[in-house]
Amino acid sequence: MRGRGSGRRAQGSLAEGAGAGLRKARVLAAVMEETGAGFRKELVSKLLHLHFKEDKTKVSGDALQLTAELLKIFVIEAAIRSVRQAQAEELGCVDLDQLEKVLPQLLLDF
Amino acid sequence: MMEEKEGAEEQQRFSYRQRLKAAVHYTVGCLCEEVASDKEVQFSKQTIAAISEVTFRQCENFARDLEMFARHAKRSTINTEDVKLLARRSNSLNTMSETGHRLQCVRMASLWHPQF
Repeated sequence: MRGRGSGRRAQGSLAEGAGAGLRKARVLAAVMEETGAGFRKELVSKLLHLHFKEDKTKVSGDALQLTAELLKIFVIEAAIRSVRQAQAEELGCVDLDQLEKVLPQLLLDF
Repeated sequence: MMEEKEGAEEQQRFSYRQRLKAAVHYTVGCLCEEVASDKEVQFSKQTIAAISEVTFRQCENFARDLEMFARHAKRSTINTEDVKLLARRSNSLNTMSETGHRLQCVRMASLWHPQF
């Protein structure tokens, strides 16, 4: 692996950067496809831009995908912790009471 | 006349915001449904709406922080290093096993690993 890496470096850092980006993107894509639902990149972009203070602020494609992933984790954490709370209270339905109990710690953890 | 125009603009901003909230609500609903069927429980509609509201507000925190991180690094384009900073508290996060793996990937995805 190391030998291949140094060989590629000889081609120029630009090519290596592109190759690295492609590999990273493939790994990321594989992880993203694991579960069905998720936040679309365009939605995440609009959500972020809604709150930027500067007009010139932009977001890279990779950063958008990662943010989408982070948001997904946030939602799933909220959902799963609420479920755990409901299970602890021996309830079959997750209601606002259960969410309210787990929300403070969730927000602190993020 | 000016007041009418301002009123219309205000209305447009409000509708745009509402549309974004609705889009978030839809995705949150889908994710909760996946969790619900996996854990064999049900979420009340109000719970899904509440998670959706919190998520929408969390986006504001994320956006502000990301913009500040990039600006601190003297960039106007937010990159993966900034997102990684956003997830910094996740080190102490006692995540459920389902999300622990995903968080690990978020942290790793923003690093440069030659073997990838």
